[in-house]
Amino acid sequence: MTDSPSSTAERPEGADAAERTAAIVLWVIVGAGLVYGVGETIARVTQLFG
Amino acid sequence: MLARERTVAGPGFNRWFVPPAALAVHLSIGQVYAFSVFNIPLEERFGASATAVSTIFSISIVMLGLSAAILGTWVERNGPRKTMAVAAALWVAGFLVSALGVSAGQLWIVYLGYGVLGGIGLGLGYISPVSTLIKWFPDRPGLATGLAIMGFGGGALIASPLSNRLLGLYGGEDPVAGLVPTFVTLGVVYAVLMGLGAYVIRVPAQDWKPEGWTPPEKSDETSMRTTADVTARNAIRTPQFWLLWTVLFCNVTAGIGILAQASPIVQNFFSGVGPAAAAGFVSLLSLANMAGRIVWSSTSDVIGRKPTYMLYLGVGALLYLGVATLGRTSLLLFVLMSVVILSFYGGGFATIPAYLKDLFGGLQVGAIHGRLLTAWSAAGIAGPLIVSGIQDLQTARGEEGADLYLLSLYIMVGVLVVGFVANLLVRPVDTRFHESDPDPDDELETQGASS
Repeated sequence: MTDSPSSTAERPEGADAAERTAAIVLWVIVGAGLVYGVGETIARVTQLFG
Repeated sequence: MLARERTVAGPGFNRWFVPPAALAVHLSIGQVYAFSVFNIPLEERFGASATAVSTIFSISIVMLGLSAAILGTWVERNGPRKTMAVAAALWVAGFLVSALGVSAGQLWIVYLGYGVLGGIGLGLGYISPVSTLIKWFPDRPGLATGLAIMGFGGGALIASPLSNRLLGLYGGEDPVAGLVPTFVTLGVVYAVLMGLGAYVIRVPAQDWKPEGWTPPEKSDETSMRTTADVTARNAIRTPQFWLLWTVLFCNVTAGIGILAQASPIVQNFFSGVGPAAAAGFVSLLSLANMAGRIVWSSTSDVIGRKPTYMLYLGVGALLYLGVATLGRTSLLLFVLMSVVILSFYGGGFATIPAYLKDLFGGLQVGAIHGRLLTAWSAAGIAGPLIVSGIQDLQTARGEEGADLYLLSLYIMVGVLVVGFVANLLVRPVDTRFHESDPDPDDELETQGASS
């Protein structure tokens, strides 16, 4: 399944380059944040069986 | 710029741009579960008791429930961008006002800042992306809401180590000195993150649907997934709303009971487990809580919402029974059972919006979700009260070790059975509550066919 819209009705705003860039940057930020948080947590988890 | 109509996505907009916006908000407000990092420095700064300082967290959670319940309809009317912007402003103001309170040595200002202002930002931020995600992912609503609400669990995993590092960076050996700059820094970080989220968020056009996806035909009377819509006003008049309220209350009460006391519980069950290992156990439960949100909520798209909650509540009850009867025999077994229980706890939060969408339609699912979150506030009081109250009672009786918690665990089994029965009783919403002809331009003014 693709994610393109099925409607061709006129929209006030489209997915311009700035939006795309911001969304990609946001994916990178939240992804990096989650990796940081999970990594720090796993480091503490090892203390349980260490 | 912030108006709902300005956020309607144009042709070519990729719906996978929406989840990071929702995640950005939930990762930010999820910091609330890491607030305990500041407890000891705040006690020292104000010369206040642990109870007085922990009241900051309690106020923010109560305000979360109240604001989500009261402002849910406003959120639906004004759309996700304005809501996220207001949530960001309040959440950031909470940090900045609290920094002022710490600087001035006035604890009441921190109550007002983080507790009241931040708490309202929490409530608005929590519900703001839910209905939008459901509209973008009508084919996979469980996955969509699981992604966002996973962020709330992940927010604490990020904020806890980050806050400790900031306190060390600014305060050195004196974390009290690091409080104000840490609050200001976190406020700036969350302003940027939530601001980006508000900028990126879009709502789909009214006639948009995923390519290749066909909306279900008009639902029959026995289908749990309705194609009709119910307003928030009418939803709370249905037995289904209160059954789901009971389901969420029971699931959260059981999970939060063990989560709030996880460190002393594992140390009392196993005498060889010290504070450092117990902290590892708490971290593991946090990971399970976060992972359960995305894993189980996505699974509910496949197996259905009602069977998913039968799993959370039925298997959850058996696992609690297992912890009570077999938990002492093996640390590994104890940990495994606890991890699954906490994954069900997280899954319960993430799956509930999709369950609401199935039963009440997407028209005002955000507002209905907001009202349902009062179950969370109530469970946040009930769960820890049961566990700590029983512990005090057993201590007075001279019990020790795992015996301090056995009665609590059996009570939680009963709580989960009550939730299981409530879930079994859920039936499709009576058609008299359905909107006969929902008008998208006036959707919040409709009163429902029965009123």
